[in-house]
Amino acid sequence: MYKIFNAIYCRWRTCVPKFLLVMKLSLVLLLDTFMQVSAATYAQKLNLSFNEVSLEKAFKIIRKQSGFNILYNPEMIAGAKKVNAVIKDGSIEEVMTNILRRQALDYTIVENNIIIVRKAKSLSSKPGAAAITITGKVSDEKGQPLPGVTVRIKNMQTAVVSNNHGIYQINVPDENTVLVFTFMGFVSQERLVGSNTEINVSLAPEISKLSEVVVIGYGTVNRRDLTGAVSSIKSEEIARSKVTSFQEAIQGKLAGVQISSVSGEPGAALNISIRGANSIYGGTSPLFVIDGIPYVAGDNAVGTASVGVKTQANPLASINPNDIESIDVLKDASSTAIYGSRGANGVIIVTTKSGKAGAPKLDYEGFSSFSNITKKLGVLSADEYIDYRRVVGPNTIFFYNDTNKDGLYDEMDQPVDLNTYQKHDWQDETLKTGISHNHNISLNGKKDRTSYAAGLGYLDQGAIVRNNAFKRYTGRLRLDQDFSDRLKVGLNLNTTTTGASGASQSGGGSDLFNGVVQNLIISKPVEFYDPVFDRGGAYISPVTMIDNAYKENTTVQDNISAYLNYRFIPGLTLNISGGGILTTSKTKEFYGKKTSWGVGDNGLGIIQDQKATTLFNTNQLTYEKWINQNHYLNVMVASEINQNTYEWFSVQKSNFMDESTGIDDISKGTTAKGSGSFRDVNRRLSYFGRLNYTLLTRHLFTATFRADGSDKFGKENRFGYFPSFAYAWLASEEKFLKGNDFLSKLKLRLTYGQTGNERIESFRYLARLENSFYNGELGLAPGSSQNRELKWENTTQYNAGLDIGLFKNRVELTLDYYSKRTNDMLLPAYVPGRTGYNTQWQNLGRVDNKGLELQISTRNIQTKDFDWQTNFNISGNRNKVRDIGNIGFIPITMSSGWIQDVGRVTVGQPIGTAYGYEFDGVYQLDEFTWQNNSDANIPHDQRLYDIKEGVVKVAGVNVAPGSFKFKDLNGDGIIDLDNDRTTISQSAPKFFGGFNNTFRYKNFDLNVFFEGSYGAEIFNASRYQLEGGVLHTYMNISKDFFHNRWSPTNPTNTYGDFGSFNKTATLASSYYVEDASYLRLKNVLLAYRIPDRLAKTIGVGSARVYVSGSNLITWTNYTGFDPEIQSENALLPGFDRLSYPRAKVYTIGLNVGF
Amino acid sequence: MKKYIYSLIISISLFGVSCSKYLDTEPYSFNTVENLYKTPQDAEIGLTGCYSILNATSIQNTGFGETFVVKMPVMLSAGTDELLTQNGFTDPNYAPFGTAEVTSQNPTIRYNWFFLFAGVNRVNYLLENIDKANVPEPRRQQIISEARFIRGLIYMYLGMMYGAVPVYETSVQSPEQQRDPLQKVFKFVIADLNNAYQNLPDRAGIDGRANKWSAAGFLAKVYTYLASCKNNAVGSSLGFALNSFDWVDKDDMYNQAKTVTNDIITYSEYKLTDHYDYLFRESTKQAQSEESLFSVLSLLNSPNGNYNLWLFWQIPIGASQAGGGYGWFRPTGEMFFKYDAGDARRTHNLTTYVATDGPKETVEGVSYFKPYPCDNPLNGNYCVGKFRYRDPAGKTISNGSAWSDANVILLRYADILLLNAEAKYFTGDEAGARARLWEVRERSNPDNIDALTTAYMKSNFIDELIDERSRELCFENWRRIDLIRFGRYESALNGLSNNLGSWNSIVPVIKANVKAAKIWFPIPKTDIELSPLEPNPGY
Repeated sequence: MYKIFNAIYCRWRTCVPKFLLVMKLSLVLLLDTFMQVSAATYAQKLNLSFNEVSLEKAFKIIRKQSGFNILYNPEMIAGAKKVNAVIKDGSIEEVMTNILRRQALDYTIVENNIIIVRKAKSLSSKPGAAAITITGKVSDEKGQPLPGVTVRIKNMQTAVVSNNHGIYQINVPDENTVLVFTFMGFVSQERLVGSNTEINVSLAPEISKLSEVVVIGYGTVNRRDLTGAVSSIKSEEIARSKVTSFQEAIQGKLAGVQISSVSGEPGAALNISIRGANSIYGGTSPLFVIDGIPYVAGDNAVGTASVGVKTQANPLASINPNDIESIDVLKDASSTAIYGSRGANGVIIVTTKSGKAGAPKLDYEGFSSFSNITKKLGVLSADEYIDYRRVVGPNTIFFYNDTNKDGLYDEMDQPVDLNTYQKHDWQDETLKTGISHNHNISLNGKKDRTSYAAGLGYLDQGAIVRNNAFKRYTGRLRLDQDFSDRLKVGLNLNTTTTGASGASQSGGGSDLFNGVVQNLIISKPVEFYDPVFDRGGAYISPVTMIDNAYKENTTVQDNISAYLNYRFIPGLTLNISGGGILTTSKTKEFYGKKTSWGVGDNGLGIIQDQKATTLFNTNQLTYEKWINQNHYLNVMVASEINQNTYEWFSVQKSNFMDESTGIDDISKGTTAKGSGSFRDVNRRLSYFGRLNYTLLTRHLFTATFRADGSDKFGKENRFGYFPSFAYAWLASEEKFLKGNDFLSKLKLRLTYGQTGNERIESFRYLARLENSFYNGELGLAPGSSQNRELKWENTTQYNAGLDIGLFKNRVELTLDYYSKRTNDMLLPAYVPGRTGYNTQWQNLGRVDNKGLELQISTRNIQTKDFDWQTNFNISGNRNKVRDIGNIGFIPITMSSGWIQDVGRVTVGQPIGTAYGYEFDGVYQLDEFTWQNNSDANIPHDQRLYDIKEGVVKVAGVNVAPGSFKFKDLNGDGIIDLDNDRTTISQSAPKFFGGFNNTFRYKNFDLNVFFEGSYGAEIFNASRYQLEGGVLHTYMNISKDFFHNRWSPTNPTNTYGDFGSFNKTATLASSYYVEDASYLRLKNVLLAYRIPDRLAKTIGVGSARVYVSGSNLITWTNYTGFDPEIQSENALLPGFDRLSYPRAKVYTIGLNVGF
Repeated sequence: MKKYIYSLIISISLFGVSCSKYLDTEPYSFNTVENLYKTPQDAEIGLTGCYSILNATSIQNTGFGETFVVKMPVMLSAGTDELLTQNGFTDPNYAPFGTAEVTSQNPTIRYNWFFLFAGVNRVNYLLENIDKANVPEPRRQQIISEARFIRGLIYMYLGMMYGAVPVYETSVQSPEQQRDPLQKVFKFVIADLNNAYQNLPDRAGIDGRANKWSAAGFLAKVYTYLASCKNNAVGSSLGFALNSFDWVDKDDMYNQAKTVTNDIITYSEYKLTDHYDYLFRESTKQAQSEESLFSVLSLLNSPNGNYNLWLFWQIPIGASQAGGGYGWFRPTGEMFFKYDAGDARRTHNLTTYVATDGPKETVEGVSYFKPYPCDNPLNGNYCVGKFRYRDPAGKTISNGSAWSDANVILLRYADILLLNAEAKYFTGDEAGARARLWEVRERSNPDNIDALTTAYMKSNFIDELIDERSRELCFENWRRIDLIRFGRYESALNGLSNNLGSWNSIVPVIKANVKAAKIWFPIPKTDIELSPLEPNPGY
């Protein structure tokens, strides 16, 4: 059922990604909705002479002269006769007809591809010759003729092929005959002849994953021949979600790939984790390979704000999703081990679009979108806030002026006229509709031996927070040139400038308290200045925080790579490639006196500059050979060098008497606040190879080996060795299953492999001196003890996978189970403090990950006018820390905020757990005694509560009614830090996945995509503030809490008293843990393709208009802005201190092809 | 031929990168340990590195001011009859010290222990390598003695806080080494301090660094500490031999204390500076240098940090724009009533808040916000007001005005006078001893000294001395050690009232936690887990 087509080019298919594009290209062509067969390209006249040459050789010569690719199955031409022919000024058709005359073969031309097929058997060879002649036209869903379609009589050998106009003619025995129309890349159809003599058929493109080309490390392979676990997504799918970064485009669409954005801020980083977290300190993000350039997205490559909790920027925001041809995610170790040292967290291969054969094609895509906040948080209105102040602080400066200067605010003083306070709703005032524009122009084509693709893109993304914006300019050029039959070179240039502007910090340091996002929620809704607690010395509103701050990051990223591919002898090819990614990032910040960041410094200006460079060179030799029809061998050996450099500097000045020029004249700052610089170089040297062996076209074996050397380790331990093995059995190719319409595909995959990780800071094995200043003078002191034993972190992974196709692949299912074990983790291991060192980098510990992934795609309805396809995926990963050396846990402390000591990495638990007390209701009045034998007439706030005997106490805290009560885990009657805390939350979801439905009705397309996650938990630290944890006037609180809180008259067990009266509220407890499960209607897209005829009348080749909506509805119980969060601490991602809210985006757009 | 060319091309391209030196890279942005101590300048840099442990904000990217920047003032002043945790403040890094519920898992304990031992390591590393640096005499000997002073100081604090600890004399510090008994610890301390006392000049070449009298002063601290601990059988009820003071010759110690304090009083040229409040202000460093025998230094406009931090509790509460702080720890009501209303020290040390629209004063040309006075400790704004930040408008601190370039005085002349009084009393000169109390009081209260002397008079000299030490030295990192060495730790805390001051509401908590074993801080649990070490009793 599956035809193995090999283009001549593709004989060396594992050579270079670009090379393989030819193969892919032919498929894309076949599938191309705008497929056009141009007669003009056939016009070239050929002069050929063949004398006893093999058919294969003849094809090569024709290809060379004509520029046509010839696609064929090597099996098919194995027994071909030698060719003898002399052709003068022949057309390609004449040449092909001539040389195939004596062969049992036929051909068909599609653009500049010639597809070789078996000749239809002669009808006359069959007894009981047919009585009826059927003719008809085969076309694609757009009505374009399909040449080369096999039309076969069911259950007979009789078959014909449609001609260049899609016309076929076949003689059939009787009316009960069933015709089967099959064509590679399209869904087969069966038709009963009945009384018809003309049967026209429209075939729908097949979305079978089997036929697609999958990019694997240092090569590509047909999905059919794939042995590892690889998920892919193509440009058409990426185009469906109108997003600004490619990570968003794949979110929820690939099993086993979990993506969550750090923040809703434009340009913010997206955290990608493939099959769970492997490492505690070694980094858990995958390796990116962008057009062959291996790239680890460094956290520091793009600058962010220097004050407050940083929102990490997305170093891959520079990639325009519009330029992407495909994204392939390598998940199991057999696939990733070829990247050895860097493959442990999975590999994401991004391939950008290259020139396609045919006439130059110019496309424009543009859209505008409107974003709004998905949710506002319910905080008190100005009037409610005054009520709240009256409850908690009637005798404060809020209500009285201390007219008698006794330090007290009471009836002895003059009351404040509350009407003088200006009232606000800060969320309304700081959040707005963000308007974005996106324009992309792309040009691609192929002329003679040169193919090219170029593009320009512009994105102006308006944020939902006042004054925040993100801009991106992209430009790219990709050239591939065939110099000769043997030599091919290519160049790929990509340059991007991104600019992110506006103060948007979420959170701040201990003296800064909070960022913009926090402020717009918690700022008091009345303008009131409290000289004791408004640390700024003046009232600072969220609006001035934004308007008096300036932050701009400009990042320029250039991806440049080139290759040279040379074929020595048939089957033996050398490919040399090299290039790099250069990122320069400059951040300018200025915080004026009206911001809480700048007020303490009397104006603060910061300039920082980062420069990160990744350079690589890969030299790769591939040999490919068929040894008769039963054995196929493909061997690749390669060497690679890699260098990363990173440089950073920063200058900070404060004390600006004149703010008018801001950061653009930093010399006005009279205090040198700080400066720093840093430079690091990291190198890698690798040798690796791969062996692919196919037995009988259905037993597939892959073995890889990689030796990686890294300068992150001492001489003795530089090299790590990473092997992998894989076996796949295409059971459906076996006789007993072949041709089975119910079980149309069955493939079993088993893989094993080892991968490594060395993503720690450089030179951790050395004994460093650290700067230690005293009285302004430089001192140096031993800062670490050396460890020459430091070596690679190692992950061993087993994977078992099953690919099933049912009902002629209308239902396709991929199921994978994996088990990973990471050993020798690179950890800053704790050493006894009395040695004078706190930690030493060591290899120790173990983390396990196990999981299941299921991906199902179905074509539910498939008719000429109406299509319905569904894709569904779900994954579950279980992570467990098995060993972290001789210490029981690693504490996780969140920087700044009121609740900091919240998490632990504990043996036996997954990574990402919060640690604290178990909430057990609220202390009630009857558990206490007070003065005068608990005299009920004494007001609550004047009672001196004593806890009754037998009621659980809390060490170090004077609990009162309304305080949180915790479970006494060791039953000693007293809650204490050492004995009564436990794991209270778990950041990773139990399951996550996506559900995508695509409908097509005539010219309309509708795509509806749901994405969700189940079982993750968030420690919602912001609730402490929002529930009166800080009673000072500068904070607003939540409506929900204010109206439902514990009070003597409302003895609830659900909420406590105001956090400031509730002395146990600052302790990390499960009270703050919330379920973060959600289901999101992530994307809906409705598109209309203007009929080609109409399009032509307006002078374009094709046109499509669409409207789409993102993040439309989220179903969740989470009370914060959004359940999809990612804290800055990878060891506790599920920790929320009010992150930047996510936007609901409505888009209208247009695609035009010229 | 073609074949050979092909093979050549292939092997060059595949293996041409195999230059073995490719991976031999060197770090750019730091130096390695073995490259220090090559020149006399290196030795000075190494010595500065030793001093820096006294107020490092973090070392090895760990901790937050675990010595005198933030944590040791909390550890040594809070949880006493002077200072308690503000009720409702629960940060585990700080709060447990003010409620006597420090556990062996406490992060501050863990990092304080680590910081102090890192300091020991730095000194030992210097002592081992200094001879490579070719420093000419007499500077070489001075560097050694300054370094030994720092090591002696660190071991003194280790001994006073944790009891017996491993004594390391080399930078190769075996984690297997067990705790050495207090006898060995303090002999080591006395040897180091004596070395510094013998070899250092009257004043250091770099202003504010250790000199002869700094060493002498801490020797006096150690002698009186050991003598009083022995005298009051400190810790004997715990029956824990490692931390025993049985070996101490009390009379010898008090005699030594008397000798060394007399020497300081006679020869050091330190004196009581005229204005008591100048000892605690950011900008009055000249006055401080008249009285302080040793301070932890900081410098305005130091481009790389190295600041001290009084923000959390030592300065009056209030807006940062007025130089106000947080008040995480609050004075007891008892502290207020230890003073006579007329004592100028009460007016200065115990206040309410500062406000941006409040009064200001100018001290030696520098503007300060003046906190509102406290006349009733039941006022909710009652707080420690002893230390003062200047008006931040005139302060250009690179870390921000929350930080301070103030020097932290570890030992001052008034304390030497009180130690001398103690030594005199125990060597039979009560009259001389009482005269010293008068001398100390008189500086801040020249006009009503007689009234105060009458008001404060207690027949038991030691009772009066302990009170006077609190009145003069409150919140200066000695109260916990004083209460312990006089055997009054438990009784002082159990004697606190629940409602004498606004912040005494936390008293029931501390009373519930106070036990005899709490005189020692716990040995950090992580250290014990990583390499077994005997814990202190009761933890």
